[in-house]
Amino acid sequence: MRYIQLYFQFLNLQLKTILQYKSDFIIGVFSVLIGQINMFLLTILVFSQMDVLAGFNLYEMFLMYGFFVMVKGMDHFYNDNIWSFAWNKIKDGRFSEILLRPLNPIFYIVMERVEISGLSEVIIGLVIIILSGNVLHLSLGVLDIFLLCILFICGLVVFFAIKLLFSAPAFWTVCCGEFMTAGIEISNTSKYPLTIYKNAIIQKILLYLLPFPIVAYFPAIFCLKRDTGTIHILNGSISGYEIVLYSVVVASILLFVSIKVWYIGLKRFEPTGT
Amino acid sequence: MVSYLSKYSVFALNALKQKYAYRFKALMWSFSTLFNMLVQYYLWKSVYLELNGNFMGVAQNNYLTYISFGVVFYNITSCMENMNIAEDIKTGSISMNLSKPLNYKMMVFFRHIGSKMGEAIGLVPLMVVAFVLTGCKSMSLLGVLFFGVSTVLAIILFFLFSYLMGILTFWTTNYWGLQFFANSIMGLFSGQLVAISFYIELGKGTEFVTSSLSFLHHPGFMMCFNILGKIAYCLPFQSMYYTPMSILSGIIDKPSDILLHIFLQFFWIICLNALIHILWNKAQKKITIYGG
Repeated sequence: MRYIQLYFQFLNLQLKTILQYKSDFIIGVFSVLIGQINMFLLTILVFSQMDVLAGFNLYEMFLMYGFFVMVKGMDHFYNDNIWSFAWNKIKDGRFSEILLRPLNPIFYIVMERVEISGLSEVIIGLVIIILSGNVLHLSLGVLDIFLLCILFICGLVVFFAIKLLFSAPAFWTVCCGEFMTAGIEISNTSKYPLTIYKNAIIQKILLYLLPFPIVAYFPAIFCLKRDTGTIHILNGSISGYEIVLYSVVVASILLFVSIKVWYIGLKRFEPTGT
Repeated sequence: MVSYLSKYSVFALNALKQKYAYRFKALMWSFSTLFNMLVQYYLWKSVYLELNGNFMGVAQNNYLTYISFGVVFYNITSCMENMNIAEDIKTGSISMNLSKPLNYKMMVFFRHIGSKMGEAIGLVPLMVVAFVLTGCKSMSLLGVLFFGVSTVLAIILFFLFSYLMGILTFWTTNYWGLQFFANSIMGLFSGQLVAISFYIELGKGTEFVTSSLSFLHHPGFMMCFNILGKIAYCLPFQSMYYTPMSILSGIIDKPSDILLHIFLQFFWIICLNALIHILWNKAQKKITIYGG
């Protein structure tokens, strides 16, 4: 409860600083928009030559992309500060300062800064989902929407856990921004259906080790009421509730492991003396 | 000439040593671009699978080479010296450099070449994966030779563009925004997003659209891509990426076309140099403001 109150106080402070740096905010939003235009052009160009790519048509592809942008935007909004932990918090000694605060260090890092331009991605993602869902005549009941929210949270957890996991080496090497960038680049795999990666090893890695398909691919096939087809989890394709179950289990295990690893790093952490 | 080179090569050597000391970082960076390569490769591979190996007149092997080696190529040619120049200008240390009996542009150029050589180790994993993925089936000896020439020109062009952006810091404080803007425009018009030839093919007419979606058959849609293709050839970016990569991958294979594109690269080198010259002279009048 105390944490929730604190979070809103921090958020309030953050919003005030945004009013101060308007041009940075506008550039941030602008950058998001141009990125989307490029992606839109690429997709349109590909689908001008075909109707179906790896079992998905244009609107189904947009639906999936919408989920990707929404989850990524939400993560960008609330959980951007962990980058500064990976790049320079330990190097400049600011991390030692955090440890002295009477708060959980992970929580403190998360709430120290919000990146408001991430919200524009959330809105764009939501608009893409609604528009493409409309064309596809998706019929979702209340229960489906509830389960979709759970999938959304699972997607956020996956992003959070992988960022945390890939920032943990900073405890050993002081700075691991490059390593974390490499980890986060893998999230781009979830823009497209898992079925396009026609390589058994890559598919297995994406299903069990770095489960980015939970971000967009699984929510999309859940909405479309399909099964995973040729992609087998345990020993068969899954659909409907099984997708939600799989996502919750995998996301929770990943979260548990990443927090564990982070705390192992924290135990052996020695300040650099700066 | 020899003394001239040895004077500047010290800067190159210095930058090389600096970057080489952090070679593990360069290796990590290359891994992050590696995933990009894989995503692009598998996306286009599945596109080609749907279309029996031909997408708007470009064969599968050619385009997969274009995509995969393009990532390696970008790592070789990309230049971020504008950030260093911006720092030099903001902190005022540029005045130190200007008071030396050296040409600042040449100094930055050699620094850039040196740091690229220091990071070269990062190219190894990318090259290996690109070779394994594509098998280099679409490369010809002539293409590789012209690619070599074109790459040297592209490195110079990229540097000149970056230098130009750096000089603009004299007039704007928000160089991150500038950098970002240039990057996104570059992605669209350099051929990194898709080969420029696709814009042109699609711009030719709606009969090339084989999709059944009705809005894609609208003439306005075709016009859009037509304009994109035309803008791409009016900007220097396609000379920095599309020209060398499409020569290597065989998307451009007629000798006359190759020579025309290389000529265009020369043209842009002259243009950018002229522009830098003009801006630099203007900036030198302004430089007194920044005491350092």
